[in-house]
Amino acid sequence: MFYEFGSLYNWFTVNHSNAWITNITITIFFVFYSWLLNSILKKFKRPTGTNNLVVLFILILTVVTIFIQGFWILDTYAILAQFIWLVILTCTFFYRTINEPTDQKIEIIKLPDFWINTGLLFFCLAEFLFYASYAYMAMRKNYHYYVFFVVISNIANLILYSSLAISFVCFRTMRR
Amino acid sequence: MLSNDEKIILFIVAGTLMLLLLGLFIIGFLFLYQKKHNGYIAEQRELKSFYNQELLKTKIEVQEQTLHYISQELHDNVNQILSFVKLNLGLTKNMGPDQKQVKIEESRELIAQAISDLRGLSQSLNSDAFTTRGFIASIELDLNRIKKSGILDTSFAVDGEPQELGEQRELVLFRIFQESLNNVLKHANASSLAVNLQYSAEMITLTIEDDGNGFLANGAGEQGLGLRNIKSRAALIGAQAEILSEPNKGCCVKITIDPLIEQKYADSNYSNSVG
Repeated sequence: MFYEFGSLYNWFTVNHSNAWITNITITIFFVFYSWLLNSILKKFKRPTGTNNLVVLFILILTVVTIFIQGFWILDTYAILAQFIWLVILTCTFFYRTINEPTDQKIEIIKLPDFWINTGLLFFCLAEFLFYASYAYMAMRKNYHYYVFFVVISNIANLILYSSLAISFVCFRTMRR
Repeated sequence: MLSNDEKIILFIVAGTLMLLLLGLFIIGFLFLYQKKHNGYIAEQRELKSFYNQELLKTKIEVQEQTLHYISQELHDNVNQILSFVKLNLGLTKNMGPDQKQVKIEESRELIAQAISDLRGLSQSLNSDAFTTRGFIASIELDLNRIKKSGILDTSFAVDGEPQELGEQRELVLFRIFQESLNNVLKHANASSLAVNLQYSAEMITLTIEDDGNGFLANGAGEQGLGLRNIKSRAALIGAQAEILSEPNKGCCVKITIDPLIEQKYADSNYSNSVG
């Protein structure tokens, strides 16, 4: 909320860009969702052992952010790597769901974890190519690209937050 | 003609759509798996329920067989003995003291025999009789009853070290034996019956062989309900039933079961009993 309002009213603009706060926000987004997905994966009977990899990954991303691309511009490499990692975690969840031995009937649609993972998967896939092309297209200052970004970003956010809302509903239903 | 930037945007749009389709494919696959898994679970539950029903039916049939035997014994044996005792005692009215004493002594012995028979029958009435006695002893008891009645000459042999099969599977196997025995008594017109129980590490084989009329065992679709029951019951516990017979050459029912393969529907409240 703070970031969204700040971006709307140019609170964080430094040298005509708020990329630095976007870097921080996306890293927080990544850390939070990595932690969330890891705790979901821990629920499975066999541990996945992804925790150590996440710590290593965050360290590498920090180094990339500070030394390679720089703090004041959008660190697309780090963002792409974060998205790839989140997609890997969501796919791991789906794979484990399929391979978890159970003698009970499964109703995936009623699982809160399924909705969290689905929302994140579509969010990362939808925004992936935008961030992949950002470094090049930002230099071109193309208006169509800006419109395209707004549309894609809004759709991705809609998918993510709708999925999270459904997961909360499922969670409440499960607790009853 | 598209500019370079427009081409890139078009590529990004197409690529993003492809990625979203990939996501949809993953989710679709998950739902497909769910459908398959739930179908499998439903099938397993149905099979388990069928197994439990069949097991219950088997237990009832074993009990019915016992009750039938008891009713026969009471009528043919105990009733006869007691009638004889009554007759004996009635005759003593006009007898001298020595003869009276002989008749009373004879009646006393007959009553002792009736008491012993009744004790044996009361043990058979126990609902857990099969569990208490065990598989081998139950077969032995049934064969002794037949032998005692003089209908058939029976023999029973156990080869190898007896192994545990689990109470449920042993009960079904015992019922198969009883069904085969009934078939011999009703239809075979046999004079002898040989039962062999062979234990080895990989296989347990129960053979029930008679020297009766026999029949054309290969006549598919012509087998009676009893023989079909034997085969379906054997399949239920993971055993194989083979029925070998030829006209005038008797019949041999052979049940083979691998003791190492646990019956998957019998795993709940699965209790093993020593055979």
